[in-house]
Amino acid sequence: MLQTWKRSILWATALLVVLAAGSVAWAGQPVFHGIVSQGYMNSTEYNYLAPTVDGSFAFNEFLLNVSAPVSDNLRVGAQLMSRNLGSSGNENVVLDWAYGDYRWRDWLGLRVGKVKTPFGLYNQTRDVDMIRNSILLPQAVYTESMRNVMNGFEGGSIYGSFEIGDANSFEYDAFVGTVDVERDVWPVSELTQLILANVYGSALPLTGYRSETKAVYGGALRWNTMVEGLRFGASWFHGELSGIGTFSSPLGPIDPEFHMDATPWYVLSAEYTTDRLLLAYEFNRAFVDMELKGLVVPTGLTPPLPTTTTMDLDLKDRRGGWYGQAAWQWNDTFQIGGIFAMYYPDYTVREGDGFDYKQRDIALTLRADVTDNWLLKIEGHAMQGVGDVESTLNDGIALTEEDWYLFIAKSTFYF
Amino acid sequence: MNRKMNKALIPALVCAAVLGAGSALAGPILIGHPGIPDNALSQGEVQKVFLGKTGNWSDGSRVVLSMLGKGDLSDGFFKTYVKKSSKQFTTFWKKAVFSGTGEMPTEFATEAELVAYVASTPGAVGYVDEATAHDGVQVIAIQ
Repeated sequence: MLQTWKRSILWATALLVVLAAGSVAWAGQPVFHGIVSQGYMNSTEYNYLAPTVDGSFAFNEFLLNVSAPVSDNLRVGAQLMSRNLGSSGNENVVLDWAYGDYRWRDWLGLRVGKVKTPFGLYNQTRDVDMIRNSILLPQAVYTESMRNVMNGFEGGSIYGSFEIGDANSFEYDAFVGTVDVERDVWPVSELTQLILANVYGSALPLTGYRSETKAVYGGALRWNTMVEGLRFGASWFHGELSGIGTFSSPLGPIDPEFHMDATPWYVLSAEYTTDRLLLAYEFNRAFVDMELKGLVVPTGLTPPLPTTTTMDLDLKDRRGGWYGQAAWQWNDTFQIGGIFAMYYPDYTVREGDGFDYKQRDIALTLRADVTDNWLLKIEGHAMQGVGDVESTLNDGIALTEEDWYLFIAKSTFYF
Repeated sequence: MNRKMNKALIPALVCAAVLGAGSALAGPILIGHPGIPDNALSQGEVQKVFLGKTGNWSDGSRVVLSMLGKGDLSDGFFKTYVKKSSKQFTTFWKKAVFSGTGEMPTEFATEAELVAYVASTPGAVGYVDEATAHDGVQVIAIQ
């Protein structure tokens, strides 16, 4: 019932957008914008985000949006997106965002529909390659594994801006809604398969899942300081997912319940820009509790298991990271940059025997705006550690090398 | 005598050069549709208008932004009044466009086209060189 109601809101919003696109009598003409990009990734030692060891072109995006003002205060818009990054996206065309935006006053507006989640400096534009210097957003904060939950939500948000004094202004967002989680990406498959791997000794194929609870809410506050170009931000996110996954096991299908609670999940941001310089720093913490209930445990498997027929598992995920970034606009065409990022799958653990307790990323980036509508980027990453390397992408590869490298190139057209 | 005369001529020639350059490019002025009730804005208000922080004029009508393409006039206007380079300004609005939080200002290749658009579009605001003919629009003073 709730699902039907949400879908109705979403499609009603999409319909408004189509009507806007076909109307010439409203407050303004519909405007279209789009992006097409294609990337290439190659890495040493490990597959990262895609099968990169052999080189991968499975890295592209297509965005097309339309928006139109309906009245002095109401605007509608929608964006279609198709993307591919390794096994994520698979070039399916999805509704990236679609909503009505009623701006009552500068300090209070309302968006209803499918909305991009305000989180950190760049989450709302994580697929918009052309607005930043680097190709890959720093994974220490904008990890692709969390994308499914963080990208956007169906629901509503209020937003606005206000001033304190002559030179300080604040912007805020507060939102509540639900997320549409694909079955084949984190957390549904990752969570359950990781836990099952601990029980059965190997991951089991996920044959289906049903999501029951998937609420998100949170907010963001940004302070544009009296120093021109200097701003600070804080974002907070709460996500809750529950459902039942069905797995194929040697003894037949099993269907444990899963539950994930991400609370809180926050990022603190600082950014300073001049006409040529960009400096940014972000710090991220995620407190994620996961549990799996009613897991049927067959006997006679390796490693040996208790003889109980069911068991519950709890997993506390305390991931965190930070990055610093600098970029310099050399001339109208070239922009160079660098990123230093640290990621910890469990930030309470700062050392270990292996290399999976951290991932350090030192990246050098080069962006070339060839024309007003076409840009090229290349970047190299020197990685240390495998804390963000997915085991599912590296079957049969021993994570025994601490240092490895990633090269990325990307071309983007936009209008 | 000649040397003294040359020394006296140098400042005069510099002044003439500056004034000459000034008549070729007098500097940007802010223009708006005649129906806009706000005929004077501070620099900070201009910045808020062009960054979408102010979405409506004082009578509640919608702000409709327009801009010129690449060039010294745009560079000067954005740097002086919006405190951004032209590239940063464009990137700022691209970010809004693709996250769905705003609409890109309508861009014009010539000042004459921009003046015609502002004159015929309620709520529209833009900038042109002071020396450019701007009949049919109001000049919004920047205080």
